[in-house]
Amino acid sequence: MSLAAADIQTRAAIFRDCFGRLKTEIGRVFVGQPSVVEQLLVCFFCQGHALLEGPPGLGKTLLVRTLSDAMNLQFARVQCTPDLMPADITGTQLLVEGHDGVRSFAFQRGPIFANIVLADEINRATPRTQAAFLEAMQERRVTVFGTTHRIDEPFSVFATQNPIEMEGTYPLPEAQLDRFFFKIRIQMPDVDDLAEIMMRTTGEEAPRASSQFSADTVLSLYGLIRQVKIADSVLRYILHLVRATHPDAPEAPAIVKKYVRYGASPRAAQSIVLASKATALLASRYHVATDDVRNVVVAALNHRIIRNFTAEMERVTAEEIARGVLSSAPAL
Amino acid sequence: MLAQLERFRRRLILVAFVKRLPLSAAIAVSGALVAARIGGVQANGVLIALVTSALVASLAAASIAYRRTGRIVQVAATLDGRFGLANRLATALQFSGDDDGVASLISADADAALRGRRPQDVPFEAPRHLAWIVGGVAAVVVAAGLVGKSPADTDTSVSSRGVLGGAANASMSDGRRSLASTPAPSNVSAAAARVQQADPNGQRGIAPVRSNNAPAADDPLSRQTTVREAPTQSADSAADPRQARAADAARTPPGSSGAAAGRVGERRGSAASSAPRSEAPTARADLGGSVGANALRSTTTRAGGVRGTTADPSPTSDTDQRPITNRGGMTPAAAWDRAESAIEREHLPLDLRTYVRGYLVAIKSGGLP
Repeated sequence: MSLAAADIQTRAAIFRDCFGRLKTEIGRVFVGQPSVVEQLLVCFFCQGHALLEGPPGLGKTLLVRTLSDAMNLQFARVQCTPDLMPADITGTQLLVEGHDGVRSFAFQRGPIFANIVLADEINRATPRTQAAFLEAMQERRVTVFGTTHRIDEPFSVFATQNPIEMEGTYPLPEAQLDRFFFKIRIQMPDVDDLAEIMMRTTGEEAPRASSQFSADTVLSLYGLIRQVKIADSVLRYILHLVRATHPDAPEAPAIVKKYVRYGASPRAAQSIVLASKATALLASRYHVATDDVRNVVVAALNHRIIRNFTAEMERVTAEEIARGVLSSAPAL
Repeated sequence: MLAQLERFRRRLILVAFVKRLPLSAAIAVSGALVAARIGGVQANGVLIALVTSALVASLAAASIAYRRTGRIVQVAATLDGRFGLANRLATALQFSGDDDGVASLISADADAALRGRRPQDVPFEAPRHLAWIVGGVAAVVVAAGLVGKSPADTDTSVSSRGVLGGAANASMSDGRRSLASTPAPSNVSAAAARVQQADPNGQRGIAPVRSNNAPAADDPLSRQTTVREAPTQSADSAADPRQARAADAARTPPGSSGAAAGRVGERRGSAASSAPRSEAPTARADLGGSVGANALRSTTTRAGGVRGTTADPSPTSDTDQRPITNRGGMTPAAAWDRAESAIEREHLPLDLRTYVRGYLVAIKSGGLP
């Protein structure tokens, strides 16, 4: 075996160990829903951003904060409200006075420059403020007063939104939704998990995640995921799935033709490929299998499928449509 | 890994061939049967068609199997699916040319996954709709058999010959001839035979068709029927009269009237050959019945052979299928004169003269005077 292969094997083992320990550490604080934790970690290791959707009180904010604690990374939280301004996120130029008494403008960094940014209830911010996240999420840089500031890696934005209380909110535009790697739905825990949550949170001391890994470790693992190979047939399978979300595409199943106004973008395919690679690495493989794709495709597609009026009237969710696309795709 | 995949490829081709052969064979054999039935192919031809269709089906199945199995890349994908290898082989094959660590790891992983497997691990599969295939072929076979037994088919064309065995058709035809035949009194038959034998200018034509189940010879109803139908008779069979005579001689004692009766039948057959083919069975039956069942049994069998029942179990059948020609060609007046002279020469009883005269005129001139 070549040195490169041995090195890759070593790094893959580190990745799996890191992933497992992070999952365990988060599980000490965030009870249950292992698939949600797994999707969040996959999203993070793929340098993606996630939109967490769930009713209030299910631990969305806690989950992201715990991830930050466990990773020993810079964490910033932005509580989005209608009066939140873009400068509150990106930062602004402040007039400061130097030691010599000379006043000048200095750039004051906003919370977007942290490694992990939690945009809590992002749909309560105005579209102008939501747009402030766009450049940061996609380009990983911020431009203020004509000056571009690069954001340090690792960088991920985790936004939360409440699907129930829609009054006074500004639903995220499609362009911004597309920038999220995954949309992770957090469900109501079952009785056992709820009991465990009660036990942990109503005692004398609430558990906290301890720091496990540094930013350097995470950065070294980014490249490893991208080295995972994907065969042409699997890649075409992914592209078939993405194209099948478009109602005017020949691959579209009946559910898409009936309920979808616009389908997923190529960025969805990028997300699926990357997430599949991470999933394959977790399964001790160095290539993507169709099972990896199936595991991640719903989370990658459900916020990129724009439903039509019929779907909204009949309360057909985008997740159901994504599952319909998955089930109608021909097996390899 | 490539060598092993090649072995798996051959196995997959074989498996696909076995899977697709029944359907191909069913289509080809059914097509051959239908074509043979429509085209009126004889038994030998049907056999050849079936063998050819089987060969064509095999070739088609092999071609389909070869194309469906595809190249090595497709074989790898197929094996991934069959053995649950999670796309290992397809990926390893695609990146086998890469010289990086990940590609070597993938290749080693695929080798390990394939190491414990043999081509024999790919099982043979039955076609998906085997019951329908078998049922369809059976239906075609039965339908072809039923079509072969239809009266119209047997009477008007030779398309029924040979398909699914000529013996069944022949027996059916013979049976119907028996029903349609009209018996003739033995004395009339003998007299007609003598007259025909005495006619020096009589042309030998096609032997009349016999009746296996000739009714009582003295049935007056049958006689009337015979006399009435005789002018419209026809005979499409063109059996060799020399063979007919030889067969008659073998079945009847020397000097008996049976051999002569066979020749009478030949003349009648030749005279009636200008009639439409569709009337052939009835006409032959009439001829045979009128001349005499005993004397015409052998020629009847021969006529059955002429009709094309190549699987006719009769040992005396032959396959003479010469084209039917009108060898009568005599005016009614000349035929009348010739019949009169022959009757006078033979000193026939008066009660038979009218019948024999009319009969001879009919077969000489092609119609009653």
